[in-house]
Amino acid sequence: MKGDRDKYIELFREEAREYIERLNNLLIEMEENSTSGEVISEAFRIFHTLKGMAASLGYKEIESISHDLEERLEGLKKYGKGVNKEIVDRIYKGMDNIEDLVEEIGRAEGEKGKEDITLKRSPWVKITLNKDTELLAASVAVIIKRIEQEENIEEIQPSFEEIKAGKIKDTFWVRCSNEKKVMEMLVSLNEVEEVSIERKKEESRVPKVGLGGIRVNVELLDRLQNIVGELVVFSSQLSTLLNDEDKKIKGFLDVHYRTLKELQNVVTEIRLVPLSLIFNKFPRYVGDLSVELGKEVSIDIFGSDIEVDRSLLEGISEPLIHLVRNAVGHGIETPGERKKLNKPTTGKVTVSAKRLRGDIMIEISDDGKGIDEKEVLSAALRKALVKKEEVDSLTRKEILHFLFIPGFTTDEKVSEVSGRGIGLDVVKQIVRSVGGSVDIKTEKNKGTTITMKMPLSMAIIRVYLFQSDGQLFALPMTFVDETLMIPGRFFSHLMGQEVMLLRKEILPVYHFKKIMKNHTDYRSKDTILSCLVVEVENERFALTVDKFRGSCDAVIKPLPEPLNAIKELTGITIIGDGEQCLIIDLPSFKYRRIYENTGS
Amino acid sequence: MGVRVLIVDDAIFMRKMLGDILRKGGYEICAEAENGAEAVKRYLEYKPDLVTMDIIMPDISGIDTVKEIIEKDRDAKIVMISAMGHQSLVVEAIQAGAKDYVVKPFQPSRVLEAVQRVLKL
Repeated sequence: MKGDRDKYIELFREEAREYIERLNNLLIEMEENSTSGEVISEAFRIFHTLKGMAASLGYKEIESISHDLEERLEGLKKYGKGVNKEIVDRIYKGMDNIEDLVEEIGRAEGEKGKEDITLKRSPWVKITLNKDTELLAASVAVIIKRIEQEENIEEIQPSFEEIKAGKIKDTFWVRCSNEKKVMEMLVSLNEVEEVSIERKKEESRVPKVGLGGIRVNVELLDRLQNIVGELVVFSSQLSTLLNDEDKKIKGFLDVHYRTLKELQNVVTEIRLVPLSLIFNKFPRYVGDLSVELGKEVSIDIFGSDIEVDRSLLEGISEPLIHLVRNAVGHGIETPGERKKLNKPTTGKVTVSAKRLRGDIMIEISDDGKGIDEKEVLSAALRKALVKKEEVDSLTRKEILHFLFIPGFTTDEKVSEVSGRGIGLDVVKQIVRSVGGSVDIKTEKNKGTTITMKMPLSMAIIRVYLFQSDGQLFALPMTFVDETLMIPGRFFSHLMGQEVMLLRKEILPVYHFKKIMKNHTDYRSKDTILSCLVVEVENERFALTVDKFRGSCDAVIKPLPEPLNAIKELTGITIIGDGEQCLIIDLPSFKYRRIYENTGS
Repeated sequence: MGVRVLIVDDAIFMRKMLGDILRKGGYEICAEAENGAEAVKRYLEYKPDLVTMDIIMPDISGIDTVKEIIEKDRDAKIVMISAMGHQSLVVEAIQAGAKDYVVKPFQPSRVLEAVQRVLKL
């Protein structure tokens, strides 16, 4: 029974924390829009729930604070009154109290367990390493893995993520059941200086978020970032307007620009949050889901300490959860099916994040049933997305990309055969809206990997400018590998596809003008062509344009209606001397190109 | 039969140096590989008792190669060879299943010590 109670307490603390986080946001909304009934109702419901939860576990103090605030909010609700400063302050205070109490419960329960002779929780093993150990964190990781091979580790301090980030000194703690055996094992290791058992380790309390800081409304941060972005662009515009004689002013402007860039970096940094905010939810989510579906699934997570822009995280959290759900629900087979296929009965889902230059790459993969492209193709034919005579010219990759066409996977039949629930199109749309791209790799019975690549920050991006038919276009730098000036005679044809040879690599060539349906005869053998070498979704190709215009920072503005319906355009930006410039969504262009070639 | 080692490193120099140290220590170098893809191939071909793996290689990184080998053989014994600055990569490699590491530039004794430790596992 005690075990059960422990479970409830853990659950209560976890949920209470989530509620407090939500309340934080609600309060900010309240301060701004003090009469919103919806906000008040939600806060009311949260306190009501907290009260009930606390009461059933006997936490009187939390119960009474929640009860008090619940009643106040109910009063406001009933009489349709807005909130005032007094009540907001009261809620903040109450919330802080509850937060403290919730943390205290954790410590108190821990203590209880330690005093208990039957020891519910194992003691901590304190391990101190030699000071001159090379790569301390790596050494800690090796030791933890060694212990893990023998014993079940309940808890590590600092956490693995912190260790990976190098946030570790020469001492760390491990909580595991057979502490004697672990000690014996560790003393023999050269790099271990000292091992001891601690029944009562001072729990180093994690500092509360906001303790040394302030609460800031996210919208204000958004505005701040926008303003700074505009200033940066404006500053670079100014310097292009100056003549070469104005050297002195130019010098000042350079300093101005650099200072602004620094300010921009600071603002960007303020907005960063670690991916762990979302990633940490996955293990429990996958656990619950696999129980529900009668599957055995383990999850591996890498790179959760990587920090990204807050709004980017907000934007991609839904698709991420969706993809993880797909992997468990549709990717991984039941233990029975897996056994038949000679696979380990426990399926594996891996979520990993990596930083690549200014981008972030997130991969979600499973070792499940994979997607059969033949089935995708026949579904595409059924839906008349492709003509019979075109089928042969499609690559495997192109076939799989039908999965991203809006509405494609919402078909019940397709989602069954493709083993991918609904919504890949939605995922793509969202990732595209933050200036990124999505790619899928899959093999029947081996599994599926979905890769999302996005810029770390979305408000301002580095773009490459080029001109086509007098109009200025911009391509996010994420996609551009290099620029070339090449005479027309270097191009040739290979199996009906125009290609060029670049350092022993054969690159398909496409002409921006042609894609824009603006056919003109554009060259002779001697014309020097401006050529961008780009990479999108792991495929490199060359794109000819009229004229290069160099790179610059751009603040992306959404396109006004009805232009926003053009999916090949991400947005619009204003550069240099105030010229307007359309930002190209290269992944969409790539798929437009397929139809270009097949002539439809 | 002696203990057979596969050396994975993109630099011939490092392969030679590691090979000499290990041979002197009484190990047999059954194969060498200069990139991740080759490493996986050689691993399956020779089933070595131990692998030394450079962490930074062109194309497929050492970490991804570790993942691939571990996927094929959960018990593979891999020692990472890393320069001083790549701590988080080494941690990642160990998370992925590598068993130990040696820091470049290394003393022969440190290499042999790591190898012996891993073989005892």
